[in-house]
Amino acid sequence: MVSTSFLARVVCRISAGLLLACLLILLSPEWVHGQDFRQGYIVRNGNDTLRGLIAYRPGKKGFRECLFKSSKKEKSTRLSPDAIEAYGLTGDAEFVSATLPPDFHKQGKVFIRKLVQGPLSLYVYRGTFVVKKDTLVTLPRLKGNSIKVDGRMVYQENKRYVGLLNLQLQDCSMSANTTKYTGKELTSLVNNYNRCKGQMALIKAGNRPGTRVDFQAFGGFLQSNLTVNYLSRNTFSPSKTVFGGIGMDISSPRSNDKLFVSLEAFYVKSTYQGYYEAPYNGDQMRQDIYLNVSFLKIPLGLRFNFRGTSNTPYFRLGIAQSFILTKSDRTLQDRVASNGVVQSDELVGGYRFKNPLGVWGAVGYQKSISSRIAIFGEFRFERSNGPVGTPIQPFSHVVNYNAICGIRY
Amino acid sequence: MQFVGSDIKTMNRFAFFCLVLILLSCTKETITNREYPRVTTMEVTNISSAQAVFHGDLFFTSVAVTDYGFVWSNNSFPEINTSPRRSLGSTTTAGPFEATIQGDLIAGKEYTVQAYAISTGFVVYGKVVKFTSQ
Repeated sequence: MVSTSFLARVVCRISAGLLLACLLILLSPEWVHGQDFRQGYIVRNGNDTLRGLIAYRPGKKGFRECLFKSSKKEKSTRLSPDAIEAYGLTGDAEFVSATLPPDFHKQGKVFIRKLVQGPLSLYVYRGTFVVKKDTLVTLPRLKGNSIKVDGRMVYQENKRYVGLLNLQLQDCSMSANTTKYTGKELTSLVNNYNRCKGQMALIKAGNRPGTRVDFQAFGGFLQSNLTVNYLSRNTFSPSKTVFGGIGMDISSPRSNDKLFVSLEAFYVKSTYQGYYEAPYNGDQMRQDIYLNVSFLKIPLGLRFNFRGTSNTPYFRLGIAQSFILTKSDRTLQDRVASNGVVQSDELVGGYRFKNPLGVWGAVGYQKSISSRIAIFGEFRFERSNGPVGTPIQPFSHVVNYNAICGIRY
Repeated sequence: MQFVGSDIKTMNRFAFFCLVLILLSCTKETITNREYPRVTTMEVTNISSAQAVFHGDLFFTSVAVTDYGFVWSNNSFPEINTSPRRSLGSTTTAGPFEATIQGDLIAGKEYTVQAYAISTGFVVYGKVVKFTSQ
């Protein structure tokens, strides 16, 4: 009963922490993204260009307005699509002000992201693509629905965009029949059309990779505090050890260059040494407990960089599954009688081992030292199930504090 | 991905750093302090009809040991006042010790042996080890 309520409390605390972190990321994009100003420009309605700093906003807000300031110290100004012709981040996305075709049911001007500019231009507005020769033409999103044919339900896919594109491409005898409704394929098709028309296309998207994998190697110091629920809270002294490992971060710079999926593997060996004393049948029982466990730890999580540059603070969150590689336990037990007779014994195999699962969070700072390599330092907190239990009480938990440094390349 | 020479040098240095860290990760067990000596009995060797060699380890002592050695018995747990014993005298230093027992064993009998250490106010017995004389 005690252990059930304890577990419930642990799960509750962990869930609350994760929820809070997710809320910070998802519900406060202004706090997270709004501070990230990057080199860019705006094109004013008179067609003059003004260089300055533009807020990097990978979400929907970039289609609604632009946050601009001419220098770091100045306050930012919100610019609507009516106020400027276009804005862009240097070497990155460019947004132009436009009135969408009627089928968008959107009044007034919005910003649309320019993907290709040429005889046939390609834009995207919140996931829907638009092409322009003389006027803007919407390429409706791929839709699927089930219809009844001869009493049977049949899935029908609406590919109206293919027909509309074929109309635009017919003067080059090109076809969009095999083109998927993705930025990559549509960009490629429109570029090919523009080449056919004799004009080298200006590619706006595609200079950032769709997927990027960064590798990392790291080492660090780990302090691990084990609590076996059956024993008193301060029974075990912390295990202090060093460790090393490798990992990789997967990101999609084209859609968001600050968010990464992290996967790591590292080897860690923990030695927990404990002392336990309790009365036993009129004698005093004293135990020295030695637990040696080595793990392969696999943390999986998300990394969020606060800035888009390579020198940036960041935080990470995730879960970690550990796999026990080697294990041993030994208890040196003294039974001290009141007449001064001490009977010593050595017990082996009294503990049960299991693979721990836990959650972790980290804050760190990354600094680039060359065009390919960055170094990082990180402090990580982890709470997990303990690797051991006793036949009487199988539950334990571990709180880990890690100081990590490493390289990413 | 193309690396330049300085990048490879940096990566090699870091790999060396990680290797050193892993090698340093061996943690040693420590013995907890007690107000009495701590002793353990180890396996008996060279067992024959004529003799056996007992092994023990006085692995911790912060007090003077007035007597230490082995006690054994062939019908119950040995006891220092009533069972045969081999005293090795007094000591102030920890470490393994042994004693050869000759002529006191009966062939084919199962014996129980324990190392012991005596300090002021305490008689400490090591774990129980059993063997059968030949």
